[in-house]
Amino acid sequence: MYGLVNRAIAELVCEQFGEEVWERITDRAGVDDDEFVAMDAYDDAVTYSLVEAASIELKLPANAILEAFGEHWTTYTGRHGYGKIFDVPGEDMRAFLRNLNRFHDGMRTNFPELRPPFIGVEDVDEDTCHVRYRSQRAGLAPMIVGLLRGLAKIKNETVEIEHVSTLQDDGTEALFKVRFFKVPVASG
Amino acid sequence: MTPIGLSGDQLGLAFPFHIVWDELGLIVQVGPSFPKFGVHPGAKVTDLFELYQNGAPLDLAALDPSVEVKAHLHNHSLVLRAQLLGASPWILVGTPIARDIDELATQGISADTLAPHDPTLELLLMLQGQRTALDDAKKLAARLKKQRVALKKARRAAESASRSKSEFLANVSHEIRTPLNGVLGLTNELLFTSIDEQQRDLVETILSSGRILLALLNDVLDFSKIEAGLLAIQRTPERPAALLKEVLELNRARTRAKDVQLRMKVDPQVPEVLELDPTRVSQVLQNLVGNSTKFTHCGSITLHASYSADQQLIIQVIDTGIGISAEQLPTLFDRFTQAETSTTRKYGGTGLGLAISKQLTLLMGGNLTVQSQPGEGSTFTASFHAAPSDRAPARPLVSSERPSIRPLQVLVVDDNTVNRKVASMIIERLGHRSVCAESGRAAIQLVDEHRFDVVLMDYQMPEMNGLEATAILREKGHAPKDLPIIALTAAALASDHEACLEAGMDAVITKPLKRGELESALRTFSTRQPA
Repeated sequence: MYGLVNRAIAELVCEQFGEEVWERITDRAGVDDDEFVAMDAYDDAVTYSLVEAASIELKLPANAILEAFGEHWTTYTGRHGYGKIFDVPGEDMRAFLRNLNRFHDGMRTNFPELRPPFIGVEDVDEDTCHVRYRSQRAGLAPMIVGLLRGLAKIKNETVEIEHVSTLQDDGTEALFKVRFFKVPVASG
Repeated sequence: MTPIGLSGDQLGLAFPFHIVWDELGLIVQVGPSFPKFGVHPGAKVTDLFELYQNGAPLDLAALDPSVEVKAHLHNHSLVLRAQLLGASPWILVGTPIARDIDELATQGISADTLAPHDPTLELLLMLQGQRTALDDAKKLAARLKKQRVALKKARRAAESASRSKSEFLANVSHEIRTPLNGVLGLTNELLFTSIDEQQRDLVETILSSGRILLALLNDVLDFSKIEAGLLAIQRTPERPAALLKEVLELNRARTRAKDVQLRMKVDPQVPEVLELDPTRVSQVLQNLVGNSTKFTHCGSITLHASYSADQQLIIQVIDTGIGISAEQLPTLFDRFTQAETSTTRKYGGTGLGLAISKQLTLLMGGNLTVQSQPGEGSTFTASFHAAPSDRAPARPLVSSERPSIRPLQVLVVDDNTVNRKVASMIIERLGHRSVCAESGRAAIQLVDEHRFDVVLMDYQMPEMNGLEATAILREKGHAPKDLPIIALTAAALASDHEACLEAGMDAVITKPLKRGELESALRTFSTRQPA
């Protein structure tokens, strides 16, 4: 994973739980140098161990942490050098998801070791689509729920996200259903 | 079919941003990405766009297909870099111009409005990536700078704390040493009084325990001085062979009881006189030989001196002792480390001796290393930078012939009652006479009124210290040949030694006062003819 990802994890933890907690997490994860360089590629093990350590320190399931991180990622990239980047792949959420693979391809020039997931979009009906996620990395599917939620916020859309199925046991492939509402859903 | 042989759909797919207009300038066809910007067929091209060629407004009557066109959509930030194709109808195919992703987004361009072959998005993403990298590098550099400043501050604070601790330790050790010297000196004198065998045994036990305590204290004092950076190295001309011999002699009594031979070998390349610090070189050698005698129960201990081309005096201490295991070797020179904790129980010591010796050799431009195997003995190699000297050594060659002693009148100047008492007892035991003064001022008055052969002057005294008193005595005309002054210092710092000599003193003896050392100094002056 690129340093940008690990830095986003650090920011999420520091913002929500404080720097001391982050220090405890890096200590537990055995990560001595947490000055991640955004465009340097780090071993995936670093990210996995940070998530695992965060899960223990925060007493939260790893899936909840990945989900929170997915949502944080959408705003993080916007604030760190990619201001209006979420406007470019597509005007609305569905268009965005359809163009995401091309967009990730474009990112490879800067991030040659990028191994982005494949995102497939299938329309079910006017208000619903299926999002098919396929990755070379195991266990990150919960992050997609957070990413979709964050994306909906950016695009100012009201959605309901359902993790329909995990297509591979190791979590490298999953299917999500996204339902779009024309009016905001009443909360509570 | 369009004039360039593509159907309208094909042209739209290849060029989502294209417009076709007729000879009247009316738009007849637009690419699929244009309608969202309000560009539709039927409008006049010049009503919607400002068109430029070579920076000048485009003349629809004189179009040049070979020159690039810039098309700026009225009342919008969208600007296209475009190319004219065909003629009447004219086809303008273009792609948006943007400096960065944000501008592209502001123009309302999304990935699906660009042709698949259009590299605009990829180029802008690359540019954005480079900007991000640069920004990241700047932030990292700023963070690094901040950390370096913090680190520097923390290091200074840590060094200051460590220095304070070492100074405190040095002061405390010094303060403890003064009364201990009194205890040892007087206990030693007790042995010369009429006591029975049982009392002698008890006094000797007190004395040996006190000496061990003093040795430990000296180790702590030395180490804290080294740590505090207070230990200065002196360089005086010295005969290395004499140093080695002295060290061997000091240890001979300890090996006599065992089946251990003490040997010494000096290579012919070793210059006769070298510039070195005899006190500190002796301390290192004494420590190494002392260790060897401790851990060697039979066989031999050899001191082998050689000299290298880069002016290093190399002294190997080779023993046939118990040796050291490979696991214990790496930490051998660490402070408070002995080969095993059981070693401390069996052989005693603070575990500071080798650490001090290592530090001393480093301070003297050399090093201390070890090679050893359990059961096969150890070889410690100490090196010292020592340039050959053509000056005469300060200390005379050791002579077995002792010159006859003339009884001397010695003035003992010390503010500490116990110290005065110890010095007086030793002096009188050596066959001399002593008079005591408790301050520099009192000493000057006594010298004015009486004749003394030697003054034993404490360095540190309240009101008037030894340096001031000496300077006044010299000013008053008491020359060194008439009145030698021996300084007594507890600090043992090179700078103090120098200060004493500069003030006009003739010799320096370090506290605790040792009978042999004082005897040797007095012997030097007793051989002089009285003035």
